[in-house]
Amino acid sequence: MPPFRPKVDYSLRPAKATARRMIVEALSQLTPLMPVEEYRYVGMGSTYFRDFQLVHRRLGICDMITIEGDPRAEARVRFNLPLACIKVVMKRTGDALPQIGLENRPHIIWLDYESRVDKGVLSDLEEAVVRCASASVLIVTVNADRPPDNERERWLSELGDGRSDPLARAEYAQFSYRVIRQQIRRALGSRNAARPKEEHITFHQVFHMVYSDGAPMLMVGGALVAEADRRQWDECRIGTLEFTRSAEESFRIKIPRLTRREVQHLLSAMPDTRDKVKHAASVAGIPPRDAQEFAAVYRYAPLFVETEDW
Amino acid sequence: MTTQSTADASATRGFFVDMLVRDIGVDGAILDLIDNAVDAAYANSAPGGDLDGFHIDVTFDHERFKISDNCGGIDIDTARQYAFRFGRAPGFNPATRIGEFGIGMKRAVFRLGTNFKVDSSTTASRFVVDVDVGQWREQEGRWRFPMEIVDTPADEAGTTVEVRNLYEGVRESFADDDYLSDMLSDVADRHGEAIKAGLRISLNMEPADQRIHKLLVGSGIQPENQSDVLLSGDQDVDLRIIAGIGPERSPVAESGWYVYCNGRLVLKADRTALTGWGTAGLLGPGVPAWHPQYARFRGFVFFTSDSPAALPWATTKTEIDASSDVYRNALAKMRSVLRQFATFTNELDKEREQFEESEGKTPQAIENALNGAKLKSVSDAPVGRFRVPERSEHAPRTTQARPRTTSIQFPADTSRVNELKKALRLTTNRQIGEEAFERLYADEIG
Repeated sequence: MPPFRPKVDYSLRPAKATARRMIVEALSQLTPLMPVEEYRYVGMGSTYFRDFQLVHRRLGICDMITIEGDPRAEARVRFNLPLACIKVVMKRTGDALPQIGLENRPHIIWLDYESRVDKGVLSDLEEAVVRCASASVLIVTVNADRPPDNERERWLSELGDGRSDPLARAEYAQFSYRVIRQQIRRALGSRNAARPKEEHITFHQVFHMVYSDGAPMLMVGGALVAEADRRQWDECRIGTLEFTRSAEESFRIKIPRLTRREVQHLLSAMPDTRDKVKHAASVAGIPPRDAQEFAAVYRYAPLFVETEDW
Repeated sequence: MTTQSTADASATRGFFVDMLVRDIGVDGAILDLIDNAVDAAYANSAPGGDLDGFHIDVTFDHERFKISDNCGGIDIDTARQYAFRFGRAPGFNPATRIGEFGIGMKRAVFRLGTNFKVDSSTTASRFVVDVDVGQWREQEGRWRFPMEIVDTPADEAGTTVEVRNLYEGVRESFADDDYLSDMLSDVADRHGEAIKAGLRISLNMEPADQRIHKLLVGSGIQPENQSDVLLSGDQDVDLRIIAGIGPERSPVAESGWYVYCNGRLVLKADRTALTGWGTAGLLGPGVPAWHPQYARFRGFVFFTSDSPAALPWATTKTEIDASSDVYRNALAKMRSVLRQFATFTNELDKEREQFEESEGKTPQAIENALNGAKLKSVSDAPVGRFRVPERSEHAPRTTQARPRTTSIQFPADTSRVNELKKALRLTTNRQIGEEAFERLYADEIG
């Protein structure tokens, strides 16, 4: 059996890192719903655990579970555990989720897949949506690239009920988004059926991001809130954050390629009023679009610095 | 200019009878009649539903079908105004557990043959309705059955329904060798709860025995046992789901979901998308289709309500109404249970694989639990989520198995040790020490 190797070096994915920081920023506002440090975080930390570290440091969450489906990875996953409060569950998500007490208390669940949306993903979504306690947050990341020609038909048919093939490559993110939202809607339909009104759960979408560090990725997320908790949810005011999206329109994370000097220069014009950044960009010869993209992410984008040695 | 008139839209009796029986089979008709009797037993039982002393006896042969019970009987007013109406008359709300739609008895007798007789007695009154359906369906005018009032009630309050001139297809069914045993098993499954409560039901003198389903409990194995209160309109429907691992080497045909409405079995050993298996259509993807590796799965879903109309069953009461809110809610829960069961079988497979690959060196936590757990009746399942012990990836540490040892150290003259090494052809000091110990032990202890 070949040894386990992570598919990507998560520490070098600027768009993903930006998305992660945005998520944590949004989660930090959950407290009116429930003190955020009392949530349990369920993620897929692989061997890097960037999200776990951030969630623990920024939100104070101590009860965390990482799900790892590749049995070969176990030794490295355990070796790399950055904190003592992370429990490792060596199972595929489809096997792990049913055994986590999702109904007992609010969870923040980040199903951070590398694969495309498929039967397994939809099943996991159903399991989480049907069982999660009110005030839980569910986030799902999938690869949104067009499948290779020889797999496309099977992929589409797996998603069921005569969905038509999206045409352009760029449409696959939107297509995947709709499949995910439909599954959440369907699962909520079952969950809410025959329940009293005050227990009805609504999915309040907060995240709809598209980004690419190579393959285009789609991230959809939101809170599952019972009617009875609705007022507290509204008090969180997460929707006021500029990167949140509650509908079909996505927020695109794009990290322009800028030198450190250019970054420092643009930063001196932040926070942006459109003309200031435009002006600063033109002074330095930075394309205006790159400057705009930078303005949208500068509070969250990481700074990567090359060091000489390990 | 228009003139108001009317066109005759009334149904002919013949058409109505044919329509009425179209959707029901012989078994369904008989089960409907038994349902009515079971209803009557519950209605006349003491609070708590003890049915001891009530019995329902069914006999059939190629000439006639007969069902008689001692479950209370129908009083004359009810018979006059309601019992023979087609459909539930406004204002009639009996406390029934099962019967709801007001068509069961009539539909059943029409389905079986051309002559029927209902003889029913309460403690105070008795009546007989005797009808030649062939004649009745040709008649015009108001729909009535002739009813004869008998002066003295029978010794025991109850109802007998008899059908003669059975249809050819009905006679053929009754002549089938397996018919009685199949029917006994259906009745036992369907009315298991009532039989458990003391009701006796016999078919051609053979008792229908309650089938007791059993699940593994203990040694770290916990069946699923969850409950919820659902709403159908403004009526409460109690839901309980119990599921787990059934007996080893039990028939595969018993695997699947059993769904009960007010104690009556509506779906038996179901392994289709209707109960969440497989990936079909509207139910959404992601739960595996039934496969022999799930042969030990047993799931029981109990819907209970004071209002039978609130239950998720179709008018035939032999089918689930999968589109009802109550059932959709339950189905999502059932699918979650199936995922857990699938996980359990996956883990068990892995454990067995590991065990073989390691030539018996890895632990068998799940297998041992399966062997150690006890079979308990479904009604005794403790409340909780389905759980089995975790599979362990690693071989147990061998230190525990090894005998306890201790070390002995002592200094010795190097040149003499070397002499011994040479003489005994040993290479290490440790070997010299071990040799010394073994010889001393052999001399002194033996």
